[in-house]
Amino acid sequence: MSAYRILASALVCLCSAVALVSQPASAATPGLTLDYARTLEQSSMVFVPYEGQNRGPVYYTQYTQVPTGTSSVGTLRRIIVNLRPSAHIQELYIPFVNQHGIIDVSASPLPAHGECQPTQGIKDLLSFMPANYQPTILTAGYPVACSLSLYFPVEYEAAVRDYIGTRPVIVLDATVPLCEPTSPRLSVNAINEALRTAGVLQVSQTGVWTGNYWDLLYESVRLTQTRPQLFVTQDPREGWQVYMQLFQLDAVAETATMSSADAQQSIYMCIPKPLHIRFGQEVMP
Amino acid sequence: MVLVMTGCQDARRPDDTRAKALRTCVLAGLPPPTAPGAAWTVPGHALVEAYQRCLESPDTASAEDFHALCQDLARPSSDDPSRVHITDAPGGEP
Amino acid sequence: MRNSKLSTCAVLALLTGAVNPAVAAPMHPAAVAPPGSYSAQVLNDFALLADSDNPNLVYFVPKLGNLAVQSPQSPAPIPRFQINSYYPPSGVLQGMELTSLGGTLSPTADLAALQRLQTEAARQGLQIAPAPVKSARTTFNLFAQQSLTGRVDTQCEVEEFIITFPNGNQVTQRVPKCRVRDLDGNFVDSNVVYKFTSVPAPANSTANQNVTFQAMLLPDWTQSLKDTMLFGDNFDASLSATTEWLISANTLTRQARLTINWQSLFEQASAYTAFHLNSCVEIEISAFFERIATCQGGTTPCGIFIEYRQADGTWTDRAPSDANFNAIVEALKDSLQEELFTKIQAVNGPVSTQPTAIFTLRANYEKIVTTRNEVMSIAYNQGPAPFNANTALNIDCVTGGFGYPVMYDMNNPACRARVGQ
Repeated sequence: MSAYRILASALVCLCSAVALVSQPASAATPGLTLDYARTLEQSSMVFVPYEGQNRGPVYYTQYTQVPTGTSSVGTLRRIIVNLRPSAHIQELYIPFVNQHGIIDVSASPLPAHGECQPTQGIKDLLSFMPANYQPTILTAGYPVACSLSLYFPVEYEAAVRDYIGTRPVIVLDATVPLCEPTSPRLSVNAINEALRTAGVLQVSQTGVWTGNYWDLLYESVRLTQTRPQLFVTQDPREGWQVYMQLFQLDAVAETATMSSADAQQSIYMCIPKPLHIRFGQEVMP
Repeated sequence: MVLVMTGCQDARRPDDTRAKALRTCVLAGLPPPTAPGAAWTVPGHALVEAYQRCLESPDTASAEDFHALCQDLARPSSDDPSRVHITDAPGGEP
Repeated sequence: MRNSKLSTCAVLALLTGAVNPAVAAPMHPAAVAPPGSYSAQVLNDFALLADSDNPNLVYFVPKLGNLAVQSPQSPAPIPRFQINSYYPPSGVLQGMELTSLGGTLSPTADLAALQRLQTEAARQGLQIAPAPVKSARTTFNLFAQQSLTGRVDTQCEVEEFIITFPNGNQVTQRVPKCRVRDLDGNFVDSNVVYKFTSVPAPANSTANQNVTFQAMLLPDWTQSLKDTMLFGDNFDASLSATTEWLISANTLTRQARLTINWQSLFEQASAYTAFHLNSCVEIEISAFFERIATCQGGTTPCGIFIEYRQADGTWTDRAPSDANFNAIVEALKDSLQEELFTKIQAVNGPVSTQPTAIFTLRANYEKIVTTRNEVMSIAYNQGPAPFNANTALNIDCVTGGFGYPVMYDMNNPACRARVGQ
């Protein structure tokens, strides 16, 4: 009981001291969704914020090969080659994130959207090494996309450094599934209002929408025919399907219900704009 | 007397006939089930469009009429509100 | 849009308020949803639970933690992390450059996330507190070496092998080969860890306990770590940890309604005790109540008809799917045992001090002559259900080390936001 008083009194004096973080105008969103309309592209960096925030992933379209110093492991030596975003090497990243107040969530395109492999050339160069000392790809920490571990005898250090310095030793191939910033957005509320006018849906004080399922089905399909622009997609039935899937059904009472949170959504109907990230692609002779 | 009785029966039949004919036409206009024995579901809009195509004239289309059609033809799918289960109930006599 | 500066010491004050475990307990989310509605970002950052007593309190378990930072409000916050080279003076690894690192990880390192939760809760008249936990286990991942916990036992020896160069030359290599004892006690090859210790989060505490660790890594990784600290990379592929919190969460106390036909019930009991020669022991009494709890057919053949109260207030004779049957039988016993049975404490002779209880049928004439059915209410609780929540502990926003002070990266807005600036 006394614990609650401590918390309560701390809260009371807190409220005056704490400046409120600005909150998005919209109500609670069901999940973290990307707001493609606010995509920022600059010098091989692509930033896509989450809805209502300045936080989100930063992707890079250009990478540079950066080897570490040499570690001595007995008589062997080890170098790790990192693929670093060129924007970081060129010192463009820090000004970019500061200029736009970007909170980078440190998302890597690997392994979800692609992979790295050693080049055939580096594998050939070190093919004489024992099996557990062969060139191996390692997972890396953001912003490094991936790393290559190289073990070699001390006599080979100059050759390996020279090799790394003059050509790619890693092949990176990733495709991040982004959407066009101009992807249309489905306004759920506009459709709900149109159906309310048609007498199909009612809205409660708490913002919950309900109606008979069959009436909803019939009138909403008619709406795709009379006012297709409400469903924003080229074939309005695609937008219609996404809209209908927001409802919860009571199969017995044959009623459909949409929560207040879902009803306030503005859903992206994605026009794909995949982000291709490549490094070290071997040129076929 | 026999003739009079037949006349009374004729007066009732058009509603049943129309309902049955509409039902048969709509069922024929729907995409078939994906596999034999699998539950027959179709996109909701396919049901409405089949209904619209099967009407004699667009003026007769109404939500109530569609509702009546669906009573013994389909039921909602709780997993996906954009699709309906077709209940191929034989007869459908009220 | 820049965030305004906030008073982190005030936020931190919230975290030190202890919750009395005897009074309050978190409710399992399947039984009671946590109060309030929150933005997607808050739900991404915290697992939330309701309190058994206070409807205006919400417990939190952070999902993502980071290095603990001293003086987060200052222009140069100090991360609790050190990383340096170490050259063993003797042994297999003599002359090689190992990495020595250590630090303190905190589940509540993200002050901006905590402030977001606190603001959204306060707007709805709710207070927040870290969830009380029964126990916690932290496992570390160091490069490819998974599941390190507590102390790590490493043995190293020199391995010799011959490499044949492409030109035919052969050179003998001498390389340290180390083996680590894993959780099952087996030795596995490792080129990562030489030494490792961590101090776990204590049991019976709250879900904001720090974890400290110290590690010595083999020379294979030194240059990689130097680059990581030079560039301020995220450590998630090098060193990360997960704390698994075990929360003993309360479930709901449910109601059941008994319609009792005493005559029939006594007939049941009488037949049962007669079978056991008119003296039943405790376990046989429990078995009797189990039988009548599952008896189908209503009050006449069974003596009792049990109905369960549903969430919507209506009654059903089907037990809820998550009902703990043992709890129902216990509740029946508690309510009816004294009416039906008399307990006789017997002592086995003058020497033994162990009493055993014997039950006989009670001559409860009052109830036996009743012809009407009696309706009685009982309450039962499943008991606490375990609820697991994890905090992923990561390291980033640090540069320096290896002879230079470790600095917190104040150039990156994401790093500044985390310390509330």
